Amino acid sequence: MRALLIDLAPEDAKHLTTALARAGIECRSTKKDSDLYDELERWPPELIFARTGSSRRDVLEHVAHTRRDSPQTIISLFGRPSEGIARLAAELDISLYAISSLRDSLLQALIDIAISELHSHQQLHTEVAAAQFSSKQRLKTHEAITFIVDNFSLAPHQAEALLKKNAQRQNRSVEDIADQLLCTGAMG
Amino acid sequence: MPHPTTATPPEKPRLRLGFIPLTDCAPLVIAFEKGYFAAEGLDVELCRETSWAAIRDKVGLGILDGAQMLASMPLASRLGIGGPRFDFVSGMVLDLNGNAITLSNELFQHLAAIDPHSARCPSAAAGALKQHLQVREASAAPLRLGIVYPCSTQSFELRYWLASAGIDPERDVELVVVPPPKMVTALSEGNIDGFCVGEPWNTLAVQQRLGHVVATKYQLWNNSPEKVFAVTKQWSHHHPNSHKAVLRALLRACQWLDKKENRRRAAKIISQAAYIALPEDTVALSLRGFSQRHHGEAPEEVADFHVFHRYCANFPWLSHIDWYISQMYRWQLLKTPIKLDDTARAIFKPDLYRQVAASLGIDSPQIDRKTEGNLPQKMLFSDSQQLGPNQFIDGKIIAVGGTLTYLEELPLPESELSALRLMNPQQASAHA
Repeated sequence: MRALLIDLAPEDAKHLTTALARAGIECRSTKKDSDLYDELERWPPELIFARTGSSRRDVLEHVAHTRRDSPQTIISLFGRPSEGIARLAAELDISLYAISSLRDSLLQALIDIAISELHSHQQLHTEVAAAQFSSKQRLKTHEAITFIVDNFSLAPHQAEALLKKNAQRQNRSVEDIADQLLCTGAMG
Repeated sequence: MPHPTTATPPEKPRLRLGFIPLTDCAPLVIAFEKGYFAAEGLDVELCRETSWAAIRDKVGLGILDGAQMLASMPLASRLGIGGPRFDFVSGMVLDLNGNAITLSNELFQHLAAIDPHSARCPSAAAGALKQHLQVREASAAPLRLGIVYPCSTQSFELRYWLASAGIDPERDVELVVVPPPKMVTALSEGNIDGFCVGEPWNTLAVQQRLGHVVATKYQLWNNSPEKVFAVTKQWSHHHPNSHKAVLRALLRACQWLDKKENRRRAAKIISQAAYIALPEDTVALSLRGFSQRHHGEAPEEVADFHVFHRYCANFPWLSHIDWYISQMYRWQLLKTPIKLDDTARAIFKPDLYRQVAASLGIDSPQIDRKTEGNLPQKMLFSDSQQLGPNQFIDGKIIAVGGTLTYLEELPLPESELSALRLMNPQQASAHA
């Protein structure tokens, strides 16, 4: 089985390709602005994962409309609106196309894989970014305390209290004051 | 902050509405920028989308609350033509006219050599294209003409223009879909030989000396609908007050936009990066009622190039849906018989429009359908409104309830016509 990935973010395409490959599905990503008519003719897939917001969606719709054996837009599964399809579009900006002979149970499994893979990666990415930010802030505060200890002969706990006091007085965060101190040498 | 004009608060005040960066996204943008949405107690986020499929799916799946759509889209979606089925409804047309057909310099030169009137007369250009296609080498690649969406208004207009000269759009040329912002690039790179698209892309192609406009939508069918505001039937059912509030805001925007003195300001607003992101002068040309058909020539005055309110423009005429149904049968996009009146009434909501218009003191037509193609000039219609000129390029006139009669004049399979007669006995008996 073959799946074409159209205009997905490189990270999403990478993760989806890996996940689908484990299920024995061969994936290929289109090049930016390539001719989809030509591409779908030369390498006809059974499945398409397209970025919902891609400007090439309308071309894809035309191919689906004129070549009935090519993948069609999937909106509902098992005869009713699919929550998975809606989540795929709303949270991951991905639309699914599939040929009509594929069973809904297979499509549901593919949607579940796509959501769990990409969602968990996106979640991890967000968590790591937040942790890195927090770690940087902590480091900055530590550097500011060291700066005060070195330059004003205060004990570390006194330096920390001074930072907090200034932050409170200026209605700003401790990290903000620490940043300013390291940049300008002054706290206000 | 302006005061809400509605006594009944909207059920859902925070709304996400979609639009495509075209000149006629103006009603949504103006309703937002001029504070008309806010005046209705709505907190609207305008979402710029890059494809009609995204608009369709996002409204259908509830990611957007509503959106600007091609006038033919709610019908196509309800019938499941060119995509999945969604039950869209529309209580308001956003504008009339606004599209044009542009051909590459090379193709235009061929047509002008065959018939010099091709530069001014759409019928002459179509006739010249027919002759050009006949003398082209059989081995030559078919001419590729761009449309924006399979069941778009532009697709039906282009087909109508081609067919008016006896060109079969299915066999004599190749129709391909190109996103509107990429039309001009596709023309410059020789990937297509022409296109039918909304403004400002025709003006841009001419200004960049890449092509010539051979027909405007106005010339193909005067004052025909172009974009509508649509939501799902379910959304409308659950949010009747929000729906009316949006329509009121849009109607006020359309009134404002239709005033000649506001067009320059409208161009300044919608040309911004958040909306169309093109030079103000390019956007302003057609908005101010000018059509730049050929490079090196002064733009022609076409006062009705964009109509946002006059001529009862915002009224959702069922006869407009009838016409799109007829074209879907004509080009065999629709083959199964449907109940014509039920289908049109399921999509366009004239009574909803009347309620909204009345709350703003605007007159509405009391009839749901009108004869199409029978008005050579504008006509006084009600106490305060007119109907604009209404003629087809081929002189066709389609009477109220005359869709079947019209279809019977076309080379459609008799079995399809018989089934349609059975499903629509009122039309069949009236025209037996």
